[in-house]
Amino acid sequence: MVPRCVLLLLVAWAVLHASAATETQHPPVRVQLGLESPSAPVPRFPILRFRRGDDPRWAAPDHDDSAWETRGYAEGLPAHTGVYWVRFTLDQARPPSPLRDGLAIGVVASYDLFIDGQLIASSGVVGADRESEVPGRLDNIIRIPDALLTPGEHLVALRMSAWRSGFKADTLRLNLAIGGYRALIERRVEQGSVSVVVIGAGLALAVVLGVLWWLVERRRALLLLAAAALVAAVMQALQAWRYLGAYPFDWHRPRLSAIAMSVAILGGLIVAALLEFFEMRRRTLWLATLGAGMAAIWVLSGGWYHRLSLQLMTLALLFALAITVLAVRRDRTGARFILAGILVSLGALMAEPAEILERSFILTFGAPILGCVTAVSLNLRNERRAARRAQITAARLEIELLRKQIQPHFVMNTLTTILEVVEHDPKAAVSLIEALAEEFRALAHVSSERRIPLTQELDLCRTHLRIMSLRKDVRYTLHVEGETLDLEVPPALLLTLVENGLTHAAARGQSVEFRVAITASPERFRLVVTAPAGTPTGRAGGAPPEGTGLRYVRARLEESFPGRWTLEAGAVPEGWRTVIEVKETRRP
Amino acid sequence: MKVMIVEDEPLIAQRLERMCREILTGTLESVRTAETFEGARAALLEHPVDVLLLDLNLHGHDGMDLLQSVVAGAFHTIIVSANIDQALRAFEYGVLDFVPKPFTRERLASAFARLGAGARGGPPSQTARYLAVRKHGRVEVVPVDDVVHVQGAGNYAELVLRDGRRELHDKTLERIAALLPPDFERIHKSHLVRLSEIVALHAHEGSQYEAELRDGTILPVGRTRYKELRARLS
Repeated sequence: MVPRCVLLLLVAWAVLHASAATETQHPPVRVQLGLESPSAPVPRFPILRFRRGDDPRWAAPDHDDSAWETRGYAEGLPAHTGVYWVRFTLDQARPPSPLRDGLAIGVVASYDLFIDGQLIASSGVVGADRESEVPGRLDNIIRIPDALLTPGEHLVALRMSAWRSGFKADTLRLNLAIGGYRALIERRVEQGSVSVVVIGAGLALAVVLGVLWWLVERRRALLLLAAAALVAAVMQALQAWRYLGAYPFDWHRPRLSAIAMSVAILGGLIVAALLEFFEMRRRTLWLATLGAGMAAIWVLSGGWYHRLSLQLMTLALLFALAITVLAVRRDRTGARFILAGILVSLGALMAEPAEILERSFILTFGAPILGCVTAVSLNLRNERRAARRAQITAARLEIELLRKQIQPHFVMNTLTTILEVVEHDPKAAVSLIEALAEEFRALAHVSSERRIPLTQELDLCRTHLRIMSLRKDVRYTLHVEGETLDLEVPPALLLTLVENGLTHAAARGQSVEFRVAITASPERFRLVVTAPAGTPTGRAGGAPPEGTGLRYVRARLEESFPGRWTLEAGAVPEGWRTVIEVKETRRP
Repeated sequence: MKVMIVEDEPLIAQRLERMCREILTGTLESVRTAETFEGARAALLEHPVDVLLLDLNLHGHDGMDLLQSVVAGAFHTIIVSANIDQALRAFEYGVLDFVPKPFTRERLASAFARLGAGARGGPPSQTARYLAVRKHGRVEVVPVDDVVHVQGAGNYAELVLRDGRRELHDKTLERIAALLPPDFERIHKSHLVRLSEIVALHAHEGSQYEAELRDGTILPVGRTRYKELRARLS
């Protein structure tokens, strides 16, 4: 079973990997196009002129950089080195075009920004070596002074160092966007706002599920889902941090790494929750395989963190899919809901792989979590209903037991006998009254229990037989074979069978023996009750009347040992034999 | 009076027998006991009795199915039973009384007292609603509502029904009278009539009285009973 699943997963994985790889050759540009406003930020991919070294004269617009190296956007700039200069030109449009007075720069480097020779802004401290470099913020939005907004070309120069870029790669990308200053800021906030929604939802869900787990039902699946929601919130907080907060660029790689790690944990938690929820076997094996797969992906990822997150999530979702499909095959409650959620999730993933951490996050992660929560709720609801039904059954059984025993036939006949005997044979009357009291006491004691020790049940039978002996002037005895050990049975289990057996007439003064044979092992026990044939009372073959007696016995057996018992009754030469077998008695 | 007791508990049977002897001193001819109904049935064929004392729950069996065959008999039936749930039904089928266990002598005595006074002395819920008639080996149940009048025929009673059918019941007219509701009146030694069916009373010369029924039947009215009857009808 597991090997087949793993094979299937590998195939699916290969397919998805291929498609995902083509999608994410280029890490997505963080700038979001699509705003229709004229002052919308526009990414810039200017030709960069590049030169190592450090000379303040290189900032001047009239400096001749024709001998400088040219670098395109795709090539990137050198990492783990400094100081070097980069120059490029920026066009300002003519009025009435709105002014593009903001410049957004995102780069894992420290820099000094010059426009037309003037130092406009600094990010961190550019250093000639690692020790002297002070990392600046990863993202900056710089307001271009009005004087430099004249239409036409302007020269932008960057004096940069990138000792602490943090990534293993030798090159880094310079992300530029130019547009309205306010628009740039707004865009940044917008990018974080989706995440804020998810943080809120994730925290709320985590709290709700956590409280549910703590107070209502300590199911591990609930706890894992709560943890998953929390991790989703944390992940989105990390995601939003870039846009709603700010951090030095040397935290960029650790942040991306943390995001990928939290994606892995989230995927693992969802898979673990599903394994718990569907009560799958060999959970450790599943989780270990998932972990190994994720570790392999991480090691082979080559540092593309977005793709890494995508692949980790895909792997987790594929595992979840496999588990859920198995659960649907086994007809587990709620499996179909979860399957729908996972399919939505995978669909979102394949449709917009670039957005799984942002826009599509809610779909990708939310759908399976929602499916899980629905399934857990369904389960809880079904269990509550079953519990209520069981409660009602238990109450009814208790009532039935009490009614059975105070039923007129037994009590009134015994009282009548006492009446008859009390004047002529007081000793016999006293015995009868004592035995009756003993039986009632025992019954009152056990009627509310689900199970009582077998020794107690046998005592109950003996008391009953004593009463019947006195009444009918017949010597009824109970012969027990086997050890009672610490076996427990439902109350009145054997008593009911004995009562059924008493319907046969016996001659006065006769000795009549009931037999109970006990065989027990740690896993099961077997009780054989033989009621003697006695003198036939006209009912053919000595079959005792069924009806409420055996119905009670069956209901009690089902209550205490659901689905694990059998009862067979039939005529034997000695009389009427009933065999009760119960398996797996040690399960709670 | 001949009595049969059907009771499976020996001490209770002993009690019943003792009490019968005490209550019916002078009139008691014989008391027989049986532990099962099958045994009793055989004995009844040989020695018919006047009253049967019966426990419905013999040996744990529910006796309601045998009740119908019992009440079809010629004898009166007094049920002595622990389970009073069955009392209402037993009365509906025409038992003389239902004595719950445990019972005192007084209670048993009042049951026997009904032999004379009849059911009319007691509450209306204790009169028969059905009469069981033995036919071709089976027992057929006739609703009392269908009975217009009853005619004595020796040791039997003929039930005359609304639709004109006539059914023969094993009980004597006296015994049936004891079970029927009060609106049945014994107008003659051999006739028992539902009063609401009488439309007219006729007096002829020679102290001959007649009652005319709704369906036109004319029934004789006993001389001594005429006055009482007229008083009741007006």
